[in-house]
Amino acid sequence: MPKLFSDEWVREYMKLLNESKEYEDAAKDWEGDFLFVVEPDENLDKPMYIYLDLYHGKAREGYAVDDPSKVKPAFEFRGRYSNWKKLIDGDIDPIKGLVTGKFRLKGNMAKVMRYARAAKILVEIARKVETEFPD
Amino acid sequence: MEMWRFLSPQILFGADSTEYLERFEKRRAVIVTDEVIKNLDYVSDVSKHLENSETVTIRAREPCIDDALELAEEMREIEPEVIIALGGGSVIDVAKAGRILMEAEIEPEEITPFTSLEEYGFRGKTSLIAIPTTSGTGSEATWAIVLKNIKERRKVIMAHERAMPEIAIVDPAFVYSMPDHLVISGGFDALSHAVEAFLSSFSNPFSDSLALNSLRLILDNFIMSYGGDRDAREKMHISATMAGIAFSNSQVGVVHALAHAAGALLGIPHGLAVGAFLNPVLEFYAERGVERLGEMNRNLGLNILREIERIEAELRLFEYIPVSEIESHRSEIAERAMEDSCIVTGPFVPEREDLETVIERVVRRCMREES
Repeated sequence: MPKLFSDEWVREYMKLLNESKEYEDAAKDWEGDFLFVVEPDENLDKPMYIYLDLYHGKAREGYAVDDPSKVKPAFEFRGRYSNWKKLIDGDIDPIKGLVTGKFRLKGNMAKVMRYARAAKILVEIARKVETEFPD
Repeated sequence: MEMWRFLSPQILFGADSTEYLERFEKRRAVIVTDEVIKNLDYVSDVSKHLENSETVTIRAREPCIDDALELAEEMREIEPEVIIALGGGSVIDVAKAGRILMEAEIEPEEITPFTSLEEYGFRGKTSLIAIPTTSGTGSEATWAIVLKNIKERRKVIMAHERAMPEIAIVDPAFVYSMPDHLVISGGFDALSHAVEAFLSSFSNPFSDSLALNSLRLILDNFIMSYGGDRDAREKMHISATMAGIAFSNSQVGVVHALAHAAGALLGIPHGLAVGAFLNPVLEFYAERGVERLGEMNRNLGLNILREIERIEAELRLFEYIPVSEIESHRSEIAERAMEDSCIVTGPFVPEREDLETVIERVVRRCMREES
């Protein structure tokens, strides 16, 4: 079982994304890469990062990142580890999480609002990756 | 239960509630209204409570992003301490966006629930009071703003906690003589807000209470309000605000996604568009076994589909729906609705083909009524 936000986890996530017709349809015009950030809390010592380049309904590239200053993504989505865990376990809705401040998003918000369905599918697919959590 | 939140303005309602403005009589106030309301002489009903006010009149039309930008420009020159939005949902939405844009250096479409307006310079220096002159949109009590992007022929859904007016004055004096077509379109808008708020995946005990109680009031008073009954108009006015708070704290869903798309493409008034799509979407939900629909019926002690059919027939809703245009734009409406942010907040996310089926049903129902 891949560890959360490891290279293996990203590969599995990309595989599932690229197999999804539903995601391909919802994000067919989407262009924009993401840095996903897991912030440390009482159950995680240091931050974790993954980079994901999403383009026209496919994940073109993705990998775990050691030094976030080396990537310049169009979007950044971040939150505390415990909230990420709840998100992946299905206990937090991503939109509610953003509205209540459990997660923060940087980038072109107007663009994200037009791809609400794609964003929902992105999270649903992340939930399908069998994940080993650090704690 | 997952963390969520409940937002509402301070609400003044009932006879003579506009008198509450006297608390602001010494403030530099701007009354934002449109040409129609100005001609009805409602402005003096507001300005008489203020010592220092001026009026800004916007065009009476479907509200556009440009209207909000123009208003913001005027507001920056006037520097009001309080903005009073007097009108239907269009005026209130323009005022909500204008209040933010006068302070924040931000593209209007970037006003989203996830945006930190403070980072764009917004400080909330100016208070916003909304006084609805129609009973339907609930805009006086919501954090949502819907403005049209004319160039792209689409409705832009904006939302932010700071878009919500601080005070809503729900005074029935402004709706006693409301024309019939506004009673119909506003009534269906309020009805759809209450129904969709209850069915939304974001519904919660607070929004449910308001959704169900506003539904009861709407079902009992819509027809009588159309007939001009003053008491029914008062109840519809209050229930539209209640339904607004309900959906603002839950969400709307597929009915609104379709109505936004059809409205932007074909220029159908919003209330009529939601009226056209409401029952076909509910039939679709019923077929898919949406449990919350049954829960709504049990709570109300009736069948909501039949109740809406009764109101549709009584008010001859289908006579107002441009059915051939909807039919000829079926594919485009479905495609655009799938891009609407409301598409993800219904009880489940439909497929595009589902939406085409719903649109077909709208067409069939309208034709059946015509024949």
